Amino acid sequence: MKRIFKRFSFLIVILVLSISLAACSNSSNDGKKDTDKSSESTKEKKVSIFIPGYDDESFKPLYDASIEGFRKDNADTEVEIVPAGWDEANSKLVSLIQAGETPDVIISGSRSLRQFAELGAIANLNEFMTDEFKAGRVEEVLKTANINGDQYGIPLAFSSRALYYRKDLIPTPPTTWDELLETAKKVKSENPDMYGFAIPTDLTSGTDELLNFIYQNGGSVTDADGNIKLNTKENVETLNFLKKFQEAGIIPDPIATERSSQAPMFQNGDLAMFISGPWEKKTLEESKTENPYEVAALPKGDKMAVTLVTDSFSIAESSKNKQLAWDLIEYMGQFKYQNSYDETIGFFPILKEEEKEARYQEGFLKPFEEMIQYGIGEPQVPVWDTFNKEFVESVQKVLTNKATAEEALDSAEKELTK
Amino acid sequence: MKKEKWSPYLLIAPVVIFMLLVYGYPLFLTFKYSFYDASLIGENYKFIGLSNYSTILKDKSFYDTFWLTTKWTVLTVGFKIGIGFFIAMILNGKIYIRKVYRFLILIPWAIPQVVVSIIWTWILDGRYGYLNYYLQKIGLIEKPLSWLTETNLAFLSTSWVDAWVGIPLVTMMFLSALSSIPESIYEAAKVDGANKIQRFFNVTIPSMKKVILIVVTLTTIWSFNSFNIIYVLTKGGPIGATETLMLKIYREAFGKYDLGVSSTLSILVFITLTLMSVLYWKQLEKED
Repeated sequence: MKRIFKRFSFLIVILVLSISLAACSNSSNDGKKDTDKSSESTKEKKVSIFIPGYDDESFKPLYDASIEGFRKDNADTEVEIVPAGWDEANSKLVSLIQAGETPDVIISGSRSLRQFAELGAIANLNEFMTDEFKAGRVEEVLKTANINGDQYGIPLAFSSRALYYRKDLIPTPPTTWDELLETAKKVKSENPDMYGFAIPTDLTSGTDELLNFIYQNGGSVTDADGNIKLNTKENVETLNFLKKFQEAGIIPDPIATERSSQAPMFQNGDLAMFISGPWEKKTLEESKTENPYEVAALPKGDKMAVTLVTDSFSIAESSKNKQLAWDLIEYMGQFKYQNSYDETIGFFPILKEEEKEARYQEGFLKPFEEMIQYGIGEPQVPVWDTFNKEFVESVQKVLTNKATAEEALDSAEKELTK
Repeated sequence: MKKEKWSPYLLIAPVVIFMLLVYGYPLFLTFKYSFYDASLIGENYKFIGLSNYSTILKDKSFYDTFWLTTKWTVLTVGFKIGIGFFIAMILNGKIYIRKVYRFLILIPWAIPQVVVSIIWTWILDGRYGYLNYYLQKIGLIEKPLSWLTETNLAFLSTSWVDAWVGIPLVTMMFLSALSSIPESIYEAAKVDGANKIQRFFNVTIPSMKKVILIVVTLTTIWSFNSFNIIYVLTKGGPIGATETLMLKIYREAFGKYDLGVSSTLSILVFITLTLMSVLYWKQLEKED
């Protein structure tokens, strides 16, 4: 009897210890929503919106302004904000979907739209796309949320890239890949404690920066049919070019370098050039006197190119308030809110009306704006996270001499297509 | 007589019901989904029998990850047991303000794992981290080491941080076992002429065998299942150097939304740990 009892209690212990991992996928529904307490629960209609990065001090007032406006103009509607950090946005969204509490409106990177659409998580928005709506939008930007002819997202943030460089150390910015390498070498030789350039390979945002180089060499990560194709002559050449920076010792550890760590390094006087978006201005302005900076168009490879990155609104397929969700998207995309959003963060026009704004014609944003004409969207791969990991790791392997470019790309391609 | 027979079961019934609801149900679902082609966010579930198992067991990368997880677990358990035992021996001795040390040793265990991991990312940062700063200052290293971005160092660092969190509990378990060994046995050994080392191997270790077995089993299960620390420190990188089975399960579930494969991997881990626990149980019975 004692023996049976012992066995039984022991099995219970094993269950407790081991099933914690099952809980990882099934019971981690931290779908605890940070509801805006100001919302009144007595209102007739309700719409919820999932906003990654909502708590960022730059973004929060912008979202609040448009949502507050919607609340005022729709007194019978309660708007619930479901915030998340960008890093855990995917897992939080999945938890909400699993818990049957999918927000009506979802903000995500447009690169995830294909996966969400194929899984039936987001709704086809074609029925809402009136000619009038389309006419007000920048066509190329709208296309970044179009999957095989169907509109699944409405872009709300559109960014471009340019080269930041130390004005006092680099009189003329490099305009080609060879010049970029030579300039970085020169800066490093003249300033041994400073890196000439940086190649970020972090999973959160390094991919877009690496894709700039892939596109500039005429490469791609998919074939004409949208299937993964990494091991190509162009991509191998690109990785071999990037490897030269590592071999010359003119970049910081690529694995340890995140896109977001470049501006602080520049600010500390540790870095002379880097590629990023207009949002870095705020950081660089703080040390402008000691580290004067300027921006220029990206150096040209085989051709000029830049990765066009957008974030989009989408509507959950399970939403019972699709029309209301669409109304919220339309409202937040009005000129006064969209323009303020883009101007504050340094994003580029979503609406045609914004293109006339003076800030895009001169000064700081001009090089970024100039690059847009050479823009290529992020690849619409079946599963972004997996692609992201394999692609970035293949670059890391090459830059740390763990594999040749051919081997690394081939291995990643096999992993992604098996 | 009848009442006596059933009363133990009645007494544990609430706990069993609670366990079945909270742990049994998710386990049942995990088993179920391992036989399905299912997405975490889709609606379409298709029964595919053992297909997920066959796909995983034919995939070389599964064995690579399994081997990596085993190595990582062995290293981490080694750290926990070795250091935990050493500290327990010190704290069991006659030292000044022993109670204060016993309290202080519990601090790492009391801090949430994510907080611990964030603190260690600052300490281990390759460029601005404290560890490199002090190691350079005392002349142990010439240039900064990439503790979290060089494959071997990242493997070691994540294992160390996981051990750092686990050592206090291990220490406390060893400490309670040490303090339960009657002083008279040591005195008898002394009278028989046993020196310190002989007393350690002939009195201390045999008296603690059972506790050591329990601690090894529990720390192995905890280390094998470790997720939070690795995820915050390296996210499984660099270049997959710290991608243990738990991270693979997470990526399958939350990256690919593949509920079928992630459930299958979970079940394989469950089977492995259960088999290991049964071995431990047999050993324990032998000791009894």
